[in-house]
Amino acid sequence: MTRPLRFSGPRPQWLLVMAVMSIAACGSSVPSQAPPGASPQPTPGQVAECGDYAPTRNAYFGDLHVHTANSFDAYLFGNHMNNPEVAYDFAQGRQIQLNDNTAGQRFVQLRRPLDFAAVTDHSEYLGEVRICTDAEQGGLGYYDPLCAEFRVNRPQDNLAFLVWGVPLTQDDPSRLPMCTYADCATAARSVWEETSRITDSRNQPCRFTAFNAYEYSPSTAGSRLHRNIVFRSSAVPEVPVSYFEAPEPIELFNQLNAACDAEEGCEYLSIPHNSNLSHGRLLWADPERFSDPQYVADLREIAQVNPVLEMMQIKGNSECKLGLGTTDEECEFEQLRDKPLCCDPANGITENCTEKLPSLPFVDEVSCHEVCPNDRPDYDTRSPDNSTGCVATHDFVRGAFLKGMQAQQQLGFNPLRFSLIASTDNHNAASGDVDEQGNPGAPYGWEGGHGGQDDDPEERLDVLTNIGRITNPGGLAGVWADQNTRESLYASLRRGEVFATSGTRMRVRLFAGDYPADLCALPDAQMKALAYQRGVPMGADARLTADGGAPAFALQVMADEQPLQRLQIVKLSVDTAGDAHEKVYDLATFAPVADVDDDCTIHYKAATETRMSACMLWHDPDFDSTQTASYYLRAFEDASCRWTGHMCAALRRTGDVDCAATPDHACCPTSSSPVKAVVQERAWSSPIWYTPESGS
Amino acid sequence: MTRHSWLRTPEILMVCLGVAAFAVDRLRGDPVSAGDTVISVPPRAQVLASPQTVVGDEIVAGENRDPVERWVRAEVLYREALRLGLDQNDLIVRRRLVQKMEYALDNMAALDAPQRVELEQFFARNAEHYREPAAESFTQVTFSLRDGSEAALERAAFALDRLQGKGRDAGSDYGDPSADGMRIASATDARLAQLYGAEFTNELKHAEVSVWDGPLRSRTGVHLVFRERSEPSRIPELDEVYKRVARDWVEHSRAVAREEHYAELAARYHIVRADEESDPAGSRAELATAAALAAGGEGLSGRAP
Repeated sequence: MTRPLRFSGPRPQWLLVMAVMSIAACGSSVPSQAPPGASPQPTPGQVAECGDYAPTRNAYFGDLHVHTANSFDAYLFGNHMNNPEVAYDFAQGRQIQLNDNTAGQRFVQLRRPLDFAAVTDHSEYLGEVRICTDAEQGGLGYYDPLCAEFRVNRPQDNLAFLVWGVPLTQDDPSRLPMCTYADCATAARSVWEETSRITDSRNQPCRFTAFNAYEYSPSTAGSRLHRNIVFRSSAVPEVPVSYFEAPEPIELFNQLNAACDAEEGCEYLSIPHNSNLSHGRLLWADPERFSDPQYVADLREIAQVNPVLEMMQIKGNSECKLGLGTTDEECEFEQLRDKPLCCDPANGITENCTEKLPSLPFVDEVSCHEVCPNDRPDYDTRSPDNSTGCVATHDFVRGAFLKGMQAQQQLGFNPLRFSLIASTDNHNAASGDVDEQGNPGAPYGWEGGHGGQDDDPEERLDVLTNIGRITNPGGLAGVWADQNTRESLYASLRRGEVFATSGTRMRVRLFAGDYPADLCALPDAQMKALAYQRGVPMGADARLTADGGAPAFALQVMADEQPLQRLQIVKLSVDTAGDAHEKVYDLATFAPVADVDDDCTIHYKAATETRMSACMLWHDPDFDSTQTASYYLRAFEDASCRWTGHMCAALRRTGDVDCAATPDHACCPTSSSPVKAVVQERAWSSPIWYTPESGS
Repeated sequence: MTRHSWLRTPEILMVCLGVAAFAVDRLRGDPVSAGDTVISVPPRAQVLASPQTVVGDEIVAGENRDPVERWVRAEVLYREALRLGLDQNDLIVRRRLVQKMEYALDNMAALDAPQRVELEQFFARNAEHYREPAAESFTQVTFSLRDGSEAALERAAFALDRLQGKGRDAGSDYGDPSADGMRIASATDARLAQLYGAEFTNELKHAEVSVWDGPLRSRTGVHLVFRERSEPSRIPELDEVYKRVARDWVEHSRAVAREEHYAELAARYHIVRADEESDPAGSRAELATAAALAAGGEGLSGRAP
């Protein structure tokens, strides 16, 4: 099945290019084996410098994935002005301006500032963008025809996206011709230097943490294989390593290891994302190559430097996909590939077996998603579009964890072990702009995240693009750290004591250990001291109790603005025969899901006051000490309006949409394809792991 | 940002401008004089290394032409075009020259690293810009609302009774587990509102200091608080924000210098506006803004530290 690149039509250039970005080959991200039972001790070499220093840790919220005008795609989207300064301004609560839309000027502001942020511009083309947009620094390159076109590109145009995006889809990518006579490397260095200088100056220990970071962005054959590289301190390499220098992930890490001088304090970690768009390639450890020592050594190295996965962002959620190894209906939450799986009797999928109907007006628009042949990466197909290409079980966290634990039985380490965060991937420099209802200055709810591509409400309602109603504002990264400093937050990311949210600031914790039955009846300080002393937090390995019993799980949740609706534990396990199992346990249901009106009024079905926080002790009724397992907590808020719901309510209120006159408008209940207007925001803890050996 | 240093040299810039002016002058339709008909072809190696040759100049007809011949052909056509005045009223030429001048203006403002005394003055002028918000520190005991607020309030009252006259550490014997923990320190109003809502934030500010007080209500529970200290909003010392001030100074100084240079250039011209009478206010406002900047006004707006 080969799909040609589309060169014409009103199709979203975004798809083309962003799809155009994905990572190559072997790409297995393997988080390191976290130290067992990280107890709440200060990080070595670190002092309790902040007023809110807490050895039992505080929850901090931030965004580790945002693009500014220094990213080639953000610029092409029409974000020409918002640089890293603006991204940090926004993160800290200041109002910023976005590109104008047809109605005029747009301003956005966070209702609640972030605790930390990282600007992650694409390392690819960092220099080229500067050359094309700065006549003085660009020299002759500024007048290159590609640059001339780059500067005048309209967000709706396809051509520039293709020209700039296509090299990132090639196995052996080469730079644009201008770099033969313009000094792209020097320009990249100067942009990186400038970004680092801004980041360092915006980092305020104890108040706001700004991380030096960038995005490594291969999209080999259209499979997204992107990773964000986050540095611990102000010690960074002279220039970010990009796809052009490192077409394979192991080359990226080898080069970073060489460029990042540990003696000068340079330390980094890598956060893969959008495995949902990687066609089985990003989170992959090939069992057929486990006998190759070099391959295994590379897997181990990659695992070491990739402790965290960005599981949710603007371009969808990568927790799980309904039908792909699971019957869990909550897996359809904010899927970018939201269509059902195509008929595939070999994989037990017997629906959609009639002829696949193309959806109009694009004849190659798929109506279902193929499962990758043999659930292995698809290296043969070019799929330049977010909506095309196959899906594999390990494109989603659950499948990856199961395959990782299976590999662990052979390799002795889990090459696909990750803690979980979410972020935005916003391209307007609006770091952490996740509020579904928008914020001061945004009259129609969330303002989109892709410059001029989704600046008008009608564009955001588009069903034909992946930039329209199918996207979401992205999520937030939650970090349990003893204080808000780079060192402390970085140590938590390394350790894996982090969590993901779909945008809410719900706080979730998960511990496993040998706990008394009345743990949750204890006063706060005693409960937490015990939780750490007699067990481990998320990200770590659980052990059997002293008498060889199963560990107990302690979970603690604090609601944000909406009350809690339900708590679940997701257990993934591999038995001694190597077979994979998944089970979702309902721990508590506080209320039936609320009804939400068209105007976003919520009708709760139970009192809200008593479900604003929870502490529970849970024992796995199916615990088997011979099985390898991982457990994570999933906590649901009650229902509220999705951004599409808020936008439609505003459009109807202002009269922009009149359902009597246009009953088929997506904002009208009478529409044949109405928007999904309601959402249940949620949070996911990082997993706690259990391996039989660790208990003995 | 590494700038090409040769572009910063005013002498070279002036020479370039001179050449450009001369070229423009020549073009006013004058017949070609004998001296202008000489085209000096650079050595072959130099032609091959020139950007036009490297990227190929498809505008010149004949793909297989020898690079040197292509260079000569391009030069002949270029000179003829100038002679015929084809650069006049050409939008692209105009835009390029304007861009070059804008960047030239930027670089005429070759800034030295700021002296401390300059930053001190700049900081003093813009002190409000760096103001830090007020912050609260307290220890809390939280009671969950799982059995309703009545029950939580009752348990809080019981605990408060026993905490009277005791220090902040005594609180650890009471309350329920809370994801946020007991001690909240140096929290700004924004952070408090994020954690517990506006009502709690207001009530906290009225709580007594250094004793157990409460109960306070939040979205998530009932709280007893031991308020430790209140850090008033303050303007930091320069050294605390030195890097930020230095960066702002550079940005500001560059903008001021650019407008100064522009004002000098603009003064050489007598600008006659067709719309003078219909829109005099707008034009004057623009000039006033430029003048204010040039005069070194505060100019630091929009972004707070």
